[in-house]
Amino acid sequence: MPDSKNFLHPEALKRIARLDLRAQHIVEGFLSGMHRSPYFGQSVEFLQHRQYVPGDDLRHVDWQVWARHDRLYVKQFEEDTNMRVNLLVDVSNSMDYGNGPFNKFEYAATIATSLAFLVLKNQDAIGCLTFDDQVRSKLQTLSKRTQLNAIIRDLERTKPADKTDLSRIFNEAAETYPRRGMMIVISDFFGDVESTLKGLRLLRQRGHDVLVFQLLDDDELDFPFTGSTRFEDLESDAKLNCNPKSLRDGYLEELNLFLDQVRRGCARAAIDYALVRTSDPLDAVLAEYLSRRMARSRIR
Amino acid sequence: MFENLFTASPYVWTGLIAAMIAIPILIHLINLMRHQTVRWAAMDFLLRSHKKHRNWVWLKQLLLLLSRIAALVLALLLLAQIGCNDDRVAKLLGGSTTHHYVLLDDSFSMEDRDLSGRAFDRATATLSMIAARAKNRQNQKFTLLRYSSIQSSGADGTFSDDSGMKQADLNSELVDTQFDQRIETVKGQLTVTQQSVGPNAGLAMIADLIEQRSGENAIVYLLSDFRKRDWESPELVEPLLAQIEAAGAAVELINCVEQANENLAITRLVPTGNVRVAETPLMVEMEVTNYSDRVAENVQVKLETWEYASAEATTRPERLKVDANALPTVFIESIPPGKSMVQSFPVFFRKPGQHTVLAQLPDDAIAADNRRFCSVQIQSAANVLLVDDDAQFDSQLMSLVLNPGGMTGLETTSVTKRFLRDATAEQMDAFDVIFMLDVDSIDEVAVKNLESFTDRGGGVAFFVGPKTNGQFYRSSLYRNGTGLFPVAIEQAFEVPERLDGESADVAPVDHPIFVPALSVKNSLLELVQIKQVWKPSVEWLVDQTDKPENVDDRDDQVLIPEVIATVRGMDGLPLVVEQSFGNGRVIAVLTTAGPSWNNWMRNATFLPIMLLIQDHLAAGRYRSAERLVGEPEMIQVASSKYARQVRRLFRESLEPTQSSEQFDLVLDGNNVQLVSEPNQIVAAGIDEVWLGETEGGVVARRTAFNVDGQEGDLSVLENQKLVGSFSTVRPTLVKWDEFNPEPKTRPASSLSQILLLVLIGTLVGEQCFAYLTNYHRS
Repeated sequence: MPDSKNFLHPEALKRIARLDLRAQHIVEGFLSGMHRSPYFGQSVEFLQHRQYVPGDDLRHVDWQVWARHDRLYVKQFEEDTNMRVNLLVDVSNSMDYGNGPFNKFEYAATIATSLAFLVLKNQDAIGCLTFDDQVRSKLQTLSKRTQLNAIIRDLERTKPADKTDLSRIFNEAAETYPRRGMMIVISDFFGDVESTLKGLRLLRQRGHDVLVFQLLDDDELDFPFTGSTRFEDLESDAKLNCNPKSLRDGYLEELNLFLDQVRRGCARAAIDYALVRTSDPLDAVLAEYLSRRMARSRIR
Repeated sequence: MFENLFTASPYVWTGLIAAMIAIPILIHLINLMRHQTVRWAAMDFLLRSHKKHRNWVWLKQLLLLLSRIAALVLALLLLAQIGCNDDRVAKLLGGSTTHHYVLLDDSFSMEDRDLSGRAFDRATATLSMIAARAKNRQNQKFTLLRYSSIQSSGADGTFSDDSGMKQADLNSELVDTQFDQRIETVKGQLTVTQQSVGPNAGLAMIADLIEQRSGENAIVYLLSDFRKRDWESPELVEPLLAQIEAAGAAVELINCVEQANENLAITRLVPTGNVRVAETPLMVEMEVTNYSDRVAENVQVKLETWEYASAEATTRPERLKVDANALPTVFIESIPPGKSMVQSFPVFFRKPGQHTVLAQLPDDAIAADNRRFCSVQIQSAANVLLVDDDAQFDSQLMSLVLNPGGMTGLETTSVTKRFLRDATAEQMDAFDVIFMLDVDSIDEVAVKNLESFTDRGGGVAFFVGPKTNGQFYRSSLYRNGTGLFPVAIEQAFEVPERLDGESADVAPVDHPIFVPALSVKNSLLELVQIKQVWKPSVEWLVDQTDKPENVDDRDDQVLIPEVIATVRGMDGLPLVVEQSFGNGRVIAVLTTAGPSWNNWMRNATFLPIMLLIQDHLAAGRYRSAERLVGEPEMIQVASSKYARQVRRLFRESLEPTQSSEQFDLVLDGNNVQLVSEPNQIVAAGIDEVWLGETEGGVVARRTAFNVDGQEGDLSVLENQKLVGSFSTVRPTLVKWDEFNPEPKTRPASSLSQILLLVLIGTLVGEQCFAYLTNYHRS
């Protein structure tokens, strides 16, 4: 049994349970009472009866049951059950950095697991794909309860390694998950910006609703180092001896330029973007993000 | 605490400087090696920043490193007390000696004694403390100079080398372990002199020495009593102190007196009469000065004469018999504070010769100025030459007038004008005064002889009358104002007879020869009737009216006559004219001595005024020969007359304390001379030089040496006033009992002050660079 406590922060899950995850776009399938399927009337396999509640489509009322029991029930089918959510988690070496309780990878895994738990609790389907310069593991999109354990097992088994190559990975993810749904990308996006944005735009072109969590450590955002320091690159052999304070301004300038490029690229492609610090409370990050999603749903 | 470190060898210094340079570099390198390692994800951004700012970062780090090295080196130099007394850097460079220049006031005012002792003793005690100060430090030199020992090597008072240091008691002596004994030995030889010397010569010499020895640190100590007369006006002293300070030396003025004590001094003792003849009274004038804040009452001055036997009596000067005769004590009722009183008294010597008058005050704060000597040349007779063309009435008359009954000590000799032509200088010098009594003219040689006689100090009185050749007097004796005769006489002039109510014919001015007429009312001189006079030329009269007020404006060749009596009602027509000529004096009376042109000879004032004319004209023979203690003395005599070997003796009292010494005169052309060096005479007294005549006789020449009366003024300047009187220098001024024998650290020199400022600036710069280089932790 995988130790889900590492990735399912109870307090975070409690906070998320109070909020409804509402999809921004209507994707394939629908969730009864909550979601309307874009594939209206194309039911395939009967799943179960559910008591009618005001607002249900009268076309799905099982009139035979009404005739026998004088009660209104609606029929539910296998295919129109849930939203399809796929997690793309970066497990490259750059995700192995962290100066707090969690490094970036651990924090990303926690987010991924929390989202999976939330999705499954809403009886939506969840899939997960880990990658560095290539796809390390992938789980098909399912809404089974066991899917959570499968995801957790995959994340636990994975250790950060190698570089990131997002363009190719996103291409492969689009192939892996051809049906439209929600793609949640959790990564630091360290790499070629244009290549990254190109991959994200590809997902968007395939009709996916894309959510981006750019995960960075406090050190990476604030660069608080003092004194003589030797920096060794996690993804290459590059090394640099320097007085960090003398390079701080230049570093932050370059970093902000990079973040700005990512943020602007996502905005242009109608991709939701969130910069997450590893020191931020995990539940607060998810709650704030979901609240923003709900607000956007209402506007639409 | 850095003493041992900084007095080490140059190798240590090299190591220190190398360390100061190496330490920041090593620390920098060690810091680089002691880095923390961070495995970093966002390396691309860091590398791009590094590439962008690499040069600027390197530059800032280099400047930071250099500023740290500079700060350490500057701190090292400051610790080495660069530019200060104990400049270790200068030591390293070989010029590190600290030279203590002590200038000791040994003028006789330092003899000032009060209940706690003499000022000079305090000064010598302080000298020991200064020596102790020097001994406590390393590489010290010591020079001790007394005021009286300074000798200027040039007329301008500058000292181009150490020639002026020959008289130094300690001359650049290295202070070693034996220095205590050395200083005590020197102290035993130090005495207060009877000289009056100021600090200027000594300070000038020290200033020059310090400038020449620029490699040394110097401290100048001035041990003195800082009397008001020397220090109230610092115009001379201040530039010297400024020169010393500008040369980098510290100056410490050490005052060795507490307060001004009362002091009486005999400041003058001179004979006033010029008829100095044996068995004839001679008036001597004495001045006593009260140098105190209170009135001096009932001052008693003891007087004494020393009458020497003839030098022929013995060959040994010390065995010569000297008779001391006490004169009546002079009482002075009171002398106001700061004032002088003059008293005259007669002295009487029985025999001719060079005798001594001595005046003494009772003991007080200063003993040296309580005694004063006066040397008087007494002759057997005062000879007067009467030149009368006919050797007739006028000369006979004048002979009777000048020596009535043999009581005046004057002896007259009547000659014709040919004597003036034929006489040798020696023959003429036998006379003090020559009376020219209506001589018509003299030949050219006689004119020269007469002028030479006057130039040597003789006096000439001209009386003119009917026989006088006015043209000759004008052209040969007056010579446009360059000759002996003071007036360009032109023609005889008959004075109109005096009417009732008119003033006297003779109108004298205030002059010593007219004292008998001026000192009484209704003088008999008013009864003198002048019938005829020689009238000067108009040009002369105009020149007299327009003569320049400022003596410096006149032509040096033209003499300045002075009219001392005029004829009644003639618009200043001169009657008696006086003029100096060389060392002598000339008086021209523009009328006759006899009764031809006036009736003066029948007047009672004629005799005393003629005697006073003789006395006045003889003054050139007796110019004051007073010398101050320490002054050089030169005796020059003809080599043909005197042997070259002389004996010399000095008397402070009647009995000489030492035997006479023998000297050889130095041949100089036709003369031999004896020159005494400065400071050879160190006390007040009588210097006797016994000259042996080539004909076998012996002549004693005696010169009185006295202290400078002004040195007895013990007024002192308060320390604050003394320091406040300086505008450009700020020497340290302490009393002798406040002197700190501990090694004195001179205030930081201008160099060290500049270094300190540079160090502060460097440290500020270092912090700025460190901030710019982001070595400051937030």
